[in-house]
Order: sequence, then C-alpha cells, then structure tokens
Amino acid sequence: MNTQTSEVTDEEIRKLVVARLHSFPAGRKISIGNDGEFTKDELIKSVEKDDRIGKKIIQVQLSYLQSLKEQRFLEE
Amino acid sequence: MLITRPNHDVTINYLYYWSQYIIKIGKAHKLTVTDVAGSRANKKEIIGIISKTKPSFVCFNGHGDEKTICGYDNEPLIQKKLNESILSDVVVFARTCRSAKELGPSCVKKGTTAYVGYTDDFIFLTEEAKESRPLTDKVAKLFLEPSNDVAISFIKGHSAGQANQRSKDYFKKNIKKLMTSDTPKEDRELIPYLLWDMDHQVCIGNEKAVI
Repeated sequence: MNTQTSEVTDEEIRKLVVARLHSFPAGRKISIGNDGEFTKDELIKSVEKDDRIGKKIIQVQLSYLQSLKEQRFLEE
Repeated sequence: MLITRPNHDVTINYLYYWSQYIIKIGKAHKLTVTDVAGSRANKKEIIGIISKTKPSFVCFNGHGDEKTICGYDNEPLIQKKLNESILSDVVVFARTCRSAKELGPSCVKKGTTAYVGYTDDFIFLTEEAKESRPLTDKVAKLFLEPSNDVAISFIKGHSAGQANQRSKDYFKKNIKKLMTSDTPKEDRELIPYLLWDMDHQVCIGNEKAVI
C-alpha cells in the first residue's frame, strides 16, 4: 500500500488557479461586491500577487474542486 | 414590502435593474411595494420609511460587510449593535456581501423574524458589452434570477426556509445545465461562482416565517 502523502504548496495552488483562469473567456468580468469588477487579466495578476481578490478567487476555485471530489452533483 | 435599489456603481446597477422583476411580481400579487431607488436609498429615507410603514418584508440590494448593509454611495443603512432593532418583526432578504455572517444573527437576536442573505461575498459574472443594458446580460441572468427567487418565493407565499431552498434549487438547476457536455467550455467556467453563491446563501431565524 502506498502511504506516501503529497503536500500541495500554496504556489502550486496559485499556478493551478491561474491555469484555470486562462480558460476564462475574454469579454466577461467578475463582480465581487465592494471590490468592483475584474477582467480575466486582472484576476490572474491578483492570484499571482496573492492579494485579497486573488485569495478570494482561489477560495472559490478550491471550493469547486472540493465539490467535484465529493461528487456533489453526480448523485442526484 | 420595501425594496432598496441604489445604483451608484456597475455592480449595484445590475441589482437595481434585476430587482425590477421582484417589484413587478410584488405588484402583481397585490402587495404594497415601496421602491426606494437610486439616491433615495439613503439612511434617513430608509429608516424613516421602515419606522412609519412597518413593512413585513424588506429586500435590500447593495454593498455590505459582516456588520453592515449599505445604501446609496455605500452609506451604512443597518449596522450591527447600532440600529438592527429597526428590523424587528420584519422578514429580511439582504442581497449584500457577507451581512448574514454577523449582522443577520444579530438582527434575529433583536427580533427580526427571518434573515436570508450571504455569509461571504456575493459574486456574479457579467458580459462587458452588456454593462449599459444589464437586463440583456445572459451571463448575469444565471446568477441574479436564482437570487431574485428568494424575494419572489416570499411574495408567492413561501416560508423563509422554503424561499432559501427554492433559490438554492434554482442555482443548482443552472449549475447542472452548465455541466452538460454540449455547454461551451467558457460557460462551464461560471459553475464555481454559482456554487459559491449557492453555498453561502443562508436562512437565519424562523424558517417557517412568511411575509
């Protein structure tokens, strides 16, 4: 049995989220409350800088990946 | 019912327009709808109207944070430990960021019947080309229709728990629609944000409360 566990670093998570954001279509914006509206390029910069908006986008994407892992929408 | 609709920035302007459907359905159901729009959505006006008319249902649109619901130009309207008791015996739907985290529970402690809102940022996507005509924005529609459904469900006689659940089911329906194989990849990128809003929408207080 393989007991090796793999730790994913914050840097690897940021790279994963940036990769996902690259498939975000141009011509769309994300509106995040008081913080305003952001284009794809602005979001990528925020994730790379790890600022408040970047952290929020990472949270959103990780929640989604967790839902896939839990197969939340397959069971219904 | 009372509805606040400030319109001082692009995000809030979307809520301003999409709330028109709530008003329309409220009127169709013969409710007295007090529409406090644009710069009228300020603290003096809102507090005055609530004190005077004692609405059974208040629908807030605007910015906010854990402790605050804001109005026009982000003026705080309702603040934790300051004036939340003004919402005593009221059913509240707050389409504002994060106010269900602290303000919502505090309102319920001070007598608010039920409080439906968001415990984190309410996020939605838009089409840049549609910013000046928000009602034609089919991307924003996927977020704002399910959210509208909280208020619309209340108007149709559903309880707070049911209104929250019906809205979540609407988010889920949109998510599942986007998960099908014939959905373009770019549209599938909307799913994480719909899921976020659905998961952070909560009902606090009496789930059986109706307006």
